[in-house]
Amino acid sequence: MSSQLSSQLNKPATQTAGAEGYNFAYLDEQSKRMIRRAMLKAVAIPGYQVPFGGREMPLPHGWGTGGMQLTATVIGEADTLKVIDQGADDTTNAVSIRRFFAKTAGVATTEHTADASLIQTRHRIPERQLRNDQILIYQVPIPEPLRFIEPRETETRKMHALREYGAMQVKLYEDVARFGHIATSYDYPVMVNDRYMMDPSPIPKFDNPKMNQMPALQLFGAGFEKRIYAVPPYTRVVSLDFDDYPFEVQSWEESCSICGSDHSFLDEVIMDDAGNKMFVCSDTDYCRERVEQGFTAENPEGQQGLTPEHNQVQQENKKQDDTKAEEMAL
Amino acid sequence: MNMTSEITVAGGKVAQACEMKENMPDPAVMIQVSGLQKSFTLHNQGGVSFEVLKGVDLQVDSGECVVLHGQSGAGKSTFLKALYANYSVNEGQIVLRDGDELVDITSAQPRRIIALREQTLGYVSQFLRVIPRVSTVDVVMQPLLDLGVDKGICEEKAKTLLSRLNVPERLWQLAPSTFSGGEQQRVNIARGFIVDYPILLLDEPTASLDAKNRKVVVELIHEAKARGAAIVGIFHDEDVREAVADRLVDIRAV
Amino acid sequence: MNAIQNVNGQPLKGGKDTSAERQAGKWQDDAPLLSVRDICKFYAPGKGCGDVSFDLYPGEVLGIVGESGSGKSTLLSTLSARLQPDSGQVIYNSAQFGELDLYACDEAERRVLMRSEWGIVHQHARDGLRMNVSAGANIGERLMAVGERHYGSIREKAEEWLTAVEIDTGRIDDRPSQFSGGMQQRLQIARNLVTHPKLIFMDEPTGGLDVSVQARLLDLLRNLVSQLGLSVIIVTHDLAVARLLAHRLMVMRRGEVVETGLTDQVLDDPQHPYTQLLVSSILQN
Repeated sequence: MSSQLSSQLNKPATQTAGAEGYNFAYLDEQSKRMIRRAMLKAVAIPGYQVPFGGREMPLPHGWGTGGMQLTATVIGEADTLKVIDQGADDTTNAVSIRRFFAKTAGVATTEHTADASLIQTRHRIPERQLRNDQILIYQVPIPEPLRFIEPRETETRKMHALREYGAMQVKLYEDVARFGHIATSYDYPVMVNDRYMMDPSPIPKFDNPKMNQMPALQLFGAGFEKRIYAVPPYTRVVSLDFDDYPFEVQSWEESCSICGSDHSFLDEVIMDDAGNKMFVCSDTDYCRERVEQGFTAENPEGQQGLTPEHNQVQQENKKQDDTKAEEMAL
Repeated sequence: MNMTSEITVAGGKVAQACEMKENMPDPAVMIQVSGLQKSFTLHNQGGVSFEVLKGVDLQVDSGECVVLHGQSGAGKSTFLKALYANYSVNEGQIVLRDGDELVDITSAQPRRIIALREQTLGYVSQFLRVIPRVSTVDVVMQPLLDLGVDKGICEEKAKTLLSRLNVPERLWQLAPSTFSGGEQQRVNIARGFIVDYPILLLDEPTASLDAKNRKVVVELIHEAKARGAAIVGIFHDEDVREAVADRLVDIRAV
Repeated sequence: MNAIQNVNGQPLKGGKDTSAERQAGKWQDDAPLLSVRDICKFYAPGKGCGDVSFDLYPGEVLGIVGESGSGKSTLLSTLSARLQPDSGQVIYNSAQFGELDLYACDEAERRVLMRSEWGIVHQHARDGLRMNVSAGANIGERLMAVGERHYGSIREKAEEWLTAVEIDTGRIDDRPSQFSGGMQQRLQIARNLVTHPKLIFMDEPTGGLDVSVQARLLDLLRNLVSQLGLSVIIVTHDLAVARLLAHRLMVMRRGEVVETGLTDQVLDDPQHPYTQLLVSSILQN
């Protein structure tokens, strides 16, 4: 009670936007400070799970409360927020969270990956490469990668502390023994900065390589288990594997039925009761962007004679790529 | 007295060796027992205590077969078990020669005794302690195999012994637990003679054997003596006793 | 069995300590593997174990016998670095770290020992196995824990060890929950031995098994122990098991060691009243 009251009193004068009666971005400033401290520790120790005093959010656990607390903590008035759920901007969860922050923080929102300064995600990393002025916030259901093999928290903490990760390999062994290949296709464990074993949240392993040396800051929030962890920009992230069964990402024989992409993560969509199906990009923004650039299923190589609008998009992309290249060079 | 140098070769590892050399300087002496006293106390039967051996002295040389006699219950078997360190003693020393070393088994560490039993000290009783599931041939050759001898050689020797002791060949690959008493006893004798132990203790190995097999055992004992083994035995059969004994030693009940 | 390699890559049979010279010098190998000094651990008066001291040498099998509640298992836990004693020291002569005072050293070192140089065989297989992963993974885990990252060779070693403990290699992908009690126990042994430990702790390894299954397990244990030259500390209330496996015995009663010595000497000529009672209580056949 009292902390709520004091945070109301301490409400910064500049943060005027947002719903009446709530602090900027819903969370009180004291909670944000606490979460920021945990975040700083998480960034300082890449891949290490930092416990934090998770707050109640006005929606149930499992709906992204961990990610929302991080977003509420780092978001500022100048930010532009994008929220995706399984790659799509227009699913219930994504829409709800986006509206929540539009209402409580009054920030600009976007569906365009390139325009966002803050991206909260559930189960995907956008196809477009992120920049170092962006932050990617993951919603995490189970933060402990060792949980499946060791139920005791005291023991998993010790295993992390002593870097005892042999047991993790057991999971991959079971895959190969049963399916002839590493069948784990999402939630695929990674080693961060050659030190901590990390659960990347249930993203497809297709996205794992994107985490490695990513220019954007990656923050992970588990609301139910009250853990925060992070991968700072340009950090080594390696997916586990065996010498004779190296890590591989999924690939499809099909390409996107809308934009013709043969290199993005595809969702299988059942069309009718007869079992007809189509494959489309899971990242809706990426797909839209390609269509705007003139790529279609019929013309996966792109159309000739682009409109000025298309040229503009492409130029922007090119400029972005150049900046990226410079950043990488640095 | 030329023994002194040999004892020094043992490398000062065993303090007992130095103490012992005056008692047992002759390299031919394999067993030296002095002042042995053994009593049993039955704590759970009113603490009854009775003395079985008192002031027993014995020396056995290489190539010599000493047969213990005395009436039943005189402590012959107890004495033999004490020589094998199967029974502890209350007083006295039992010094055995293990190559260049002399070991007092009344004070030696368990692992020292185990090493001694593996290479030097053999014991044959009339009872086979059956190990489940293990075939006869494996039971017989195990002690030799444990010394690191090639399996083929062990198996060869085991089979020779089994056939000399008239154990039918069809039984060799079976576990001896289902054999008759006499068959088990012969398997046990084969096992006891598979290693050429320098010291051999025989606790009525011929009891309940027929004349043919008793003769084989006598031959085996003669062969062991010929290679220099020191043997201490208990035999109830007069004929066997006379055939093998160099000396009879009377163990009297106290 | 022939294909199993020891740590140095030599074949198991050649690598075992049975060459004549090694055998001859075995008892002279002066450095104990484990030195226990005045270990005390009491939960309540008479509950636990007190003033236990002994040395365990390479290749030696020590049996700890006594009735339920005599402190055997407590002692085993303190010896195997799983239960901090109230006082006393346990010093292990490690191949990797040299002499280690188990309760004064780094926990990291202790845990490395547990998965490399040591093995622990529990009475209940489910305490020592991962029941929700396959037999192969159970055996392979220790290999992976010490850095093995080649699936093919992990699998190959798992098969070799299944064969060594007499489990059909066709069962490699089955879960231990589908195994019989005896098989689970053998799997537990294989899982421990795969990293070629020097010292194994066993807590009633044959407890709860049918007599016929027990015999098979004992025979297997006896062979493995002698072939691999293992040092073993085995806790059992079954004197027949102790006689078959142990070189020497420690008899415990109400937390104290009442008698120690060569196994057959303790069993055939027991000195302490309690040992006499224990031995006289065995059914003769």
